[in-house]
Amino acid sequence: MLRYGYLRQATAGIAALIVVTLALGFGYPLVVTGISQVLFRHQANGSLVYSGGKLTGSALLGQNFTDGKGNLLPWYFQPRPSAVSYNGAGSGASNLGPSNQELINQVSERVRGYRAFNHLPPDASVPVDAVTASASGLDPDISVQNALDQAPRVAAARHLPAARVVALVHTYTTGPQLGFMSEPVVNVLQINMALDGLR
Amino acid sequence: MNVTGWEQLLFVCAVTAVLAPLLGWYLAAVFRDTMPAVTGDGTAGKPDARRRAPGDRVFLPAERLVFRVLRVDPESSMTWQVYAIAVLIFGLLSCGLLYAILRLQGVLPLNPARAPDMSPRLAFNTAVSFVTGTNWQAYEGETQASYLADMAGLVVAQFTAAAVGLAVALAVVRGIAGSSRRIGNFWVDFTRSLVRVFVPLSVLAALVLVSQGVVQNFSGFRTASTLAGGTQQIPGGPVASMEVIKLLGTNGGSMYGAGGAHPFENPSGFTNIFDLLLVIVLPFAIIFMFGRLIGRRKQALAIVAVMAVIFLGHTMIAMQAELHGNHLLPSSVAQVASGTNPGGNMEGKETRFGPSGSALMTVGTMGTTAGATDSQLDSYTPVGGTAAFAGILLGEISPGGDGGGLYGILVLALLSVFIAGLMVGRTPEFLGKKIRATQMKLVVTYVLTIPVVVLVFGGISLVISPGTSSILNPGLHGLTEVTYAYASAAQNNGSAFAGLAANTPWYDITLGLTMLIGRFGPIILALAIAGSLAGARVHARTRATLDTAGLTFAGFLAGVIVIVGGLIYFPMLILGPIGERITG
Repeated sequence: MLRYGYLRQATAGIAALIVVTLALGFGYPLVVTGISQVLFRHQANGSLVYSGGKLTGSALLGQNFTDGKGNLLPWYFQPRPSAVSYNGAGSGASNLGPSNQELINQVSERVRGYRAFNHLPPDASVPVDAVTASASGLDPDISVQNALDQAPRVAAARHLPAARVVALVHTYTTGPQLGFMSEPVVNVLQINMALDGLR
Repeated sequence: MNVTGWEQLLFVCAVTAVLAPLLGWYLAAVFRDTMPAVTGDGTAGKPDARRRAPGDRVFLPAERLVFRVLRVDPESSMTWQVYAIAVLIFGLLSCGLLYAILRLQGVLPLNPARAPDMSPRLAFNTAVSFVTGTNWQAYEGETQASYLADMAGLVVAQFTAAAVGLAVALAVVRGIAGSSRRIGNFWVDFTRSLVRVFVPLSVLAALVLVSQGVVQNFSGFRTASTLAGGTQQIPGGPVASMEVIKLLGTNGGSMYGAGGAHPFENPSGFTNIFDLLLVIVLPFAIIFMFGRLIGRRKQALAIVAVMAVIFLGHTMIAMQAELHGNHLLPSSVAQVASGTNPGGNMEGKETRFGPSGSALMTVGTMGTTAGATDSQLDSYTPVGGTAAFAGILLGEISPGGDGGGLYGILVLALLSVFIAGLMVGRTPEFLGKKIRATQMKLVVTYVLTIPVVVLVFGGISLVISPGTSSILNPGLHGLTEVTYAYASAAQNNGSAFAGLAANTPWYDITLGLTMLIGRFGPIILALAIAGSLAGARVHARTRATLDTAGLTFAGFLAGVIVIVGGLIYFPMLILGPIGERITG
């Protein structure tokens, strides 16, 4: 047994573990944090958004636009369905399989709800992102089509001309990043903050 | 596939084609002096004692310091047995330390979210998971792991797992191609991989990610007052530093539950593509390094071609399937992509990535051991899910994990020369060395280790209630949740059909065992194969020698990979996603 030098490998292993834990477990993240906090303070802290000095959220995280009872507020653009109800204490998806009847029922229910809430005709097609839950449950974005379908309802609730809200959708459409790296999207928190700022 | 998908895929291929050979050149420069002489028709004789590698001025003192602390003589070289023992002992020690941290995280500092101590079985599962590079996460990232556990436990394991993978690959190359009976010094390979590859690249890439919005702080949860008058918890943490080594080390374990889908980990289309490149460039570069180290760059090209074809195969199938959408949804749901609607199967996907970017990142990393998803596989279409599954089942060689991809495909190449040798009636040879019964027994054991674990544990789980009660989705899809878990664990991938409730005694323990066998079984066998070939006579190439660097052999190798994987797993896939597609 001794010819393989178990003991020597074990002492080297213990020393190696101490070295990597100190250097990579503490040194490395602290160096990265230090440089990040100097060079990219805003991003490193979560791209936080304030209004009137109060923390409103993060530009990168979606949030609920509902009243205390969970009813959707018609004067705001509404984000996608979320499996974690936009609570950042967790994150995740429904994990429902494509053939799961529960998913199909949920989507059908959401299609009806989306049409009714947005005063769309009963045979109107509905953008897929509006009736499916995202992967993170914190998706900050909706598709441009989803925003355009919601624009007339938002305008009516705010007594604004529809054209003005549609124009705002186009102003707040971002992407595709570098022309191809992402889908064109509308950030829900940012467009809603812009709406609140119109008055 | 649509225009966006093609553009993203071509961009990824183009950048990889440029960066992988460059990085391979650098890696070869770093490790050249550790290669024993390669004779035959490769480069003759041992190269200059110490050819200078880029960055020596910075890295050499750091390396020497580590060697002194470890009390290791960097000039000494190990037999395969000693090398394997060093790997195993280090793995055991790492598991022990990580287990202790996870069990005690509740009383240790740096725990702003007040994560409680992990239970013994969850700590076992998690410790094994990260030390083996699997990064299967049965715990909830946001609330069940402290920052200390993330940094000093999980991230350290992510670095070391990657370095161990690369080290083993180097040892295997020395054994298979070299003319010495010794296959290198584990501590030298391990230290150099970290000092010269993983740490510098991680620091740079982490800063790129932070600049794009990935968070890096120690502030814990903040409470925001939302626009509509509610409250929202906003998580924090040293995310970017973990995200980078999760990807670069082909690990896959994230700080947050949603992983690469979480906007704080992967905020934009740019980071999505950047993340994918962080995963796949290095495994390809390691193949180019191999070609340079053995002095046969055409051999590396042949292997890269096989890997690239399989990578493109499963990735493109998934991109097309997810873009096409879920035909079971009501027809009123607009799933056709347009300029204003990403379309496709968007359940479990993020809007900014759309179906193409999601499938590209998620399924593109399935052929590595990262399994770093940006979308939820459980909600993929059956065809897209099969493509992801295929990346794992074909043996994680497209392009594979850091190091694991290289030794994995070398073993399959030995199997291929053997089969080809039988067909033409010659003694099989690889890199000038004769492949005999000793090697073939080890190769076949290697090839069968993982399927046996997957099929046995998966089969048992489907007939006992501790196994079936964790399933979320009914029918054939539920079967896939279970078999996928064991395949992912055994191949050290770590991605999941996450509907499966995996934090149960049955799954914590059996998946933990599966990860251990799936990691250390193949490592020991690959080192044994290398050891059995180490110092064997290298025969000069003759007209009768099978050319293993040509297109014919590349095609043959790809065929063997697909046929072996297919024969073993096809029944399982028929019962799972293929059946789901046909009956759905």
